[in-house]
Amino acid sequence: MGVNLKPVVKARQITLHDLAGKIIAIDAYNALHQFLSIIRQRDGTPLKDGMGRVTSHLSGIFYRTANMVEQNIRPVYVFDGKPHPLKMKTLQKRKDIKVEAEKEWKIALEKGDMETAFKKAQQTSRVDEEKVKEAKRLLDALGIPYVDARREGEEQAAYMNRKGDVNAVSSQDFDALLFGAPLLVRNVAITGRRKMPNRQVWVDVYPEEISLDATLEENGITREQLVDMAIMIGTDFNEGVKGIGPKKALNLIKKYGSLEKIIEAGEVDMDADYREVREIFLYPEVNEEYEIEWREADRVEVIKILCDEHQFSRERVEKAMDKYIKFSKTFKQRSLFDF
Amino acid sequence: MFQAKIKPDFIKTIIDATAILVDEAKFKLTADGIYGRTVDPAHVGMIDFKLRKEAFEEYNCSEDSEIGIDLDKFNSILKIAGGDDVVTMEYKKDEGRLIVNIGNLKRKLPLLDVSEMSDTKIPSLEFPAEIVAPTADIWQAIRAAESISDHITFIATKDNFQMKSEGDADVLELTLTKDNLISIKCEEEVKSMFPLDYLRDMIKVARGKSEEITINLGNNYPVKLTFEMADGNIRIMYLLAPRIESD
Repeated sequence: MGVNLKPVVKARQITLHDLAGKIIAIDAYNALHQFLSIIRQRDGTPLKDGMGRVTSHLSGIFYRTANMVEQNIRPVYVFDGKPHPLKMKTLQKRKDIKVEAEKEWKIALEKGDMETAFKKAQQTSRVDEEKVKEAKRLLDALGIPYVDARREGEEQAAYMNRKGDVNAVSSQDFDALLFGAPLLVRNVAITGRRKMPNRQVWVDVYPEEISLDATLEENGITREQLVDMAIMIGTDFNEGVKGIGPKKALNLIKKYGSLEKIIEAGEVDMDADYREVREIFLYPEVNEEYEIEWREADRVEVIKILCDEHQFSRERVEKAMDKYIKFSKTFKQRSLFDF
Repeated sequence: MFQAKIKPDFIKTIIDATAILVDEAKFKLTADGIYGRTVDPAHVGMIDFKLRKEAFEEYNCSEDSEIGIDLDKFNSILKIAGGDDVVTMEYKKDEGRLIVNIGNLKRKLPLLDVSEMSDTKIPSLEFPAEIVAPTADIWQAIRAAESISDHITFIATKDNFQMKSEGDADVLELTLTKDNLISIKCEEEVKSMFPLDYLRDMIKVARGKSEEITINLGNNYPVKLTFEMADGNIRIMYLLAPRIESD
């Protein structure tokens, strides 16, 4: 879920077009999770193939990647590695929610309450090893590069962004900023119409970009202070302080300067783990040996995976693939604004 | 108030030159002439043109303004004009249309909302090499390269300018020595690869209209192509981003 920084970040609405010619590191787990959660039928059932296997993630990877490539965006997917031990608690919690949601989904379906059914079904989305393997195989066939992170995908993506190997990190979460990504883009992989949670309302979702520097400047804080704020609000690695949201955290950090001082002043109570959480964000564990190269797509393999193995509409896939191949030629093309 | 008379060929060249990159463009009407600068949606090619008032038969512009043009539509009007015709254009600020007269034919061209069209900035580039070459030779190399590849490499050395294209098995080279060139300024070898489709469209605009093209080149760097017509009163500059060279 990541940390909630929405009220304090400086976001600017953009269009996919503004990202033309840019290399974007996509938080792969985050994207797969979005696909699995959004690409569903009205009663909440995900897309399935003839053998009942879920294919929402493959549909997402294929059509959304094609959409980006068409806009001359060059995506690199970054997959999570081994979770940090401190994240285990969050992961267990997510698992529990899924089990519970699974039950509630069935109950809602029996009652004919489609709204609740959809919402609960969304919460059951699971990115497991098998789905990651399938996604990677499809990316290989599409000629799209991916990188395996040592820990969090965003952690790795932020590192690649800082090094200048990618122009931005794409994730719905704000954690990439804490990991030091200069530019975060949101709603890139899922642009379009999207259902609002808890309501039968669909809205247009526009991409937005969030600059770390602009956010820090706007709030008059440093990245270290932003991390301290996140720790108080709660991250994937710690619980946070009850009753402290983004705004309160900002006020505290501006008044006292650091988490140590805030604790000293008796404003909040935190266990000593917070130092370790801070280390996670400020000293990321990353994979330094990665290669980013876009290759020619393997049309036959893509059609084999999607149509032969998972019964996607051949006509639709072939049409999208023709277009994709035409646009993927621009992988080798640089933009005038790279210089 | 803007009112101008121009030879159809001149205005058509400007419209064609812009239309290879975009469907819609913003033109600036000023006291000195018409200016335009546009980048294509993929940010690969850019045009910057100056159509000075001296290129017109008559030119009157009392107030600067910007107009948004649907290039296809404008072109369809200009197609009607013969070589001896004169095209008259009239625009009143905030009227939302350009009145185009060709002979007795009068056409009202609806204009596009320029507030939606962003300004294009020219990237600041420094080019280590400058070559002035005959347009015909460049065009020949591009035509030949087209049949074997979708890209072409420009290489400049102290005395030579070379265009090279490699297909799966075929290799094509065209070398212009100092004697074949109008001029060459190059300290050390530079080399960049470009997409042929863009390059072809750009050179095609110059072909038959300008004897020579100025090529500014760098290493894995954009290329700047400049050419002039109408005694230097029409100046078109293109920028084209390079392709990433694969091994």
